[in-house]
Amino acid sequence: MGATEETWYDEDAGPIVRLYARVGARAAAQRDGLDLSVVLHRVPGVPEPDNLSPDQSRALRLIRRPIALSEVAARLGLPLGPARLMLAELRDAGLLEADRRDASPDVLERLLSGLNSL
Amino acid sequence: MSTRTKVITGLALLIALWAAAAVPALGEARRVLSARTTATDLAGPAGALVLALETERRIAVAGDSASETAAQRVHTDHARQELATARDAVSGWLSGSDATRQTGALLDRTARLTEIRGQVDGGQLRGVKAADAYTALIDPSGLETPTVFADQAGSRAAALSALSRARELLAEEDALLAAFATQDKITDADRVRLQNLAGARRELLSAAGAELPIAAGTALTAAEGAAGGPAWSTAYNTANTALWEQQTAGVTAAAGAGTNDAVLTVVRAGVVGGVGLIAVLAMLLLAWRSRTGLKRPRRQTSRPAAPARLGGLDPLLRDLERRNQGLVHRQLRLLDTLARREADQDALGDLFRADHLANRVRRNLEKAITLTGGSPARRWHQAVPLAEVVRAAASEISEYDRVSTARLDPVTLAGPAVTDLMHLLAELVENAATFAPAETTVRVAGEHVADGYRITVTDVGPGMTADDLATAARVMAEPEPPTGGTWWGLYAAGRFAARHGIAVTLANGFDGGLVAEVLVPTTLIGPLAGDNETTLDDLEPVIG
Repeated sequence: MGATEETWYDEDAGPIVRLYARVGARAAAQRDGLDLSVVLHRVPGVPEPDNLSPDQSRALRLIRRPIALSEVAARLGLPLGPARLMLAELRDAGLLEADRRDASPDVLERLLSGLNSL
Repeated sequence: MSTRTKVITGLALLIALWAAAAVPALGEARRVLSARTTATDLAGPAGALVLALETERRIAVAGDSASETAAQRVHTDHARQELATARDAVSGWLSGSDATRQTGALLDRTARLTEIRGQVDGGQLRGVKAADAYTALIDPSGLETPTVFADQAGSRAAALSALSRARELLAEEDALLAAFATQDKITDADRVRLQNLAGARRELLSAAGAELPIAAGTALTAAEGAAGGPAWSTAYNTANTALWEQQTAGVTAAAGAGTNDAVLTVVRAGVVGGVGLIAVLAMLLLAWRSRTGLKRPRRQTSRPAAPARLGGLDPLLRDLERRNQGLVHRQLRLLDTLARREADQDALGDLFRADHLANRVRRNLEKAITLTGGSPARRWHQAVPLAEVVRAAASEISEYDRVSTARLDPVTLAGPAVTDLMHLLAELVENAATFAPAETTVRVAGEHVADGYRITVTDVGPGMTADDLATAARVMAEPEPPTGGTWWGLYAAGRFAARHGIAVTLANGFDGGLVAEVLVPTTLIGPLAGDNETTLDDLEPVIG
């Protein structure tokens, strides 16, 4: 009793929007084979559903051009695991497709030069 | 006045004071104990009669065979007779107790059974009308279940009534579905009625703090979506049994806990009586021994003890609340850390579910603190993007993925209003998601208007009747909570709003559904500086 009241302000109050809500992951869907090196494409002609979280919408906007999964995660500021879960769900919903690309020396070289140019 | 007269007057006054305190206390103790016994005696037969009436309703509506009908009627009559016998055994001075009043009313209503049966047999009452006639026997007002009594259930009475009402609504839904099955087609009005029943049931269940077992709930929702069908009766029977068992177990537990209260009342009565009596005797003795020397009666010290109060619990509960806040805060922080580094997708899904549950616990905790006049320990000085507050609100309800927050004019909300507006919106979004059919979307939009920023929460549910809209407005405006387990969500919304001069209004939308409007004062709204993340989106991808 009589303990001093503990309070948390702003940053310390924690993220207002929890990760699960950003990622929008709820259904226990099959989430296989979406590993970190895949390149994502938007499936043409499938309209964006209206109950996507802002992060999901932004991801779809990024994927208008083929883009690596890890890059989507980085640009959204999401950790890789949660980002993968979110994108797997969008894939399951038929909104995007994943191309497994072998990390050929060519790709690695382009990645390196891309990173250097940032 | 002689000293002797003074002493006698003083004593008489003391005895009168003591009696004034002791007699009601003893009477109350006797009443509480007897009322509890009565309630326990009546609960069984009352429950049996309600179940029998529900079964008879189902049979009458579905137009089952004559032999089945006859057998069920004998069964119902027997149950009614049992209740009447139990009710008549209650002594007269307890006729005012809740249990005797509620069961008496049930017996009075069911006196109409013969008349209703005649109309069912004659074909004047059929389908939905027959179902309604029976429903009116069970609970005409839709407010008070005849199977849960305050005397027995004590402080859990409101929650258990809500649970019991939820089960009765489920049975009503079953009867209506049976009725619709005999019709040529199901009208829109029929569908709205079913949706309303299902929504009210969900709300009552959540007010009761109860939940169906997950499998039963899923099966029920699926069968509900199909408006009956072969899956319904299995799902219904499972759910109905589960709810009935929860209610019975709840009443038994509450009665056990309530017995402690009753014992406390008796002890209190004993203290008032005993201490007062000893004081009076001591006074008499004193008066006897110093008859002449007594200058004045020692009224101050011999006054009977006032009934004890339980006010001391309040700081203790506050302390527990504060500790719980600290624990949930740490739990959420830990879950966040774990989720950030978890690579396994299944484990991550489980972590998110745990996070969601913990977040809902925090919401309840902060709601309790706010409703009792406190302020949650998580606070904001800085303004926060309103869109985040809205998304946080949506994430606080169980089906958060049904909420669309796409159409919000970008603004910020003043820090001190963040938690309250978040929980306010959570109530409205939850209300919308509860009453609208499963799988439909609840839309939250926001825009600048002349006198502030207007947030609307729109669903595609059945909307509300004019009466319900009026009740909702009243409940949101009142500082005292409504009784009976319903409307608590909107009551809480009203309290959150009142703390910041926010106005909340409910109305039916033009194309059905309910629209909740939240007007946030201009003083709480600020401009949102453009973030640079959008420009980052437009950069060329590193790998093309």
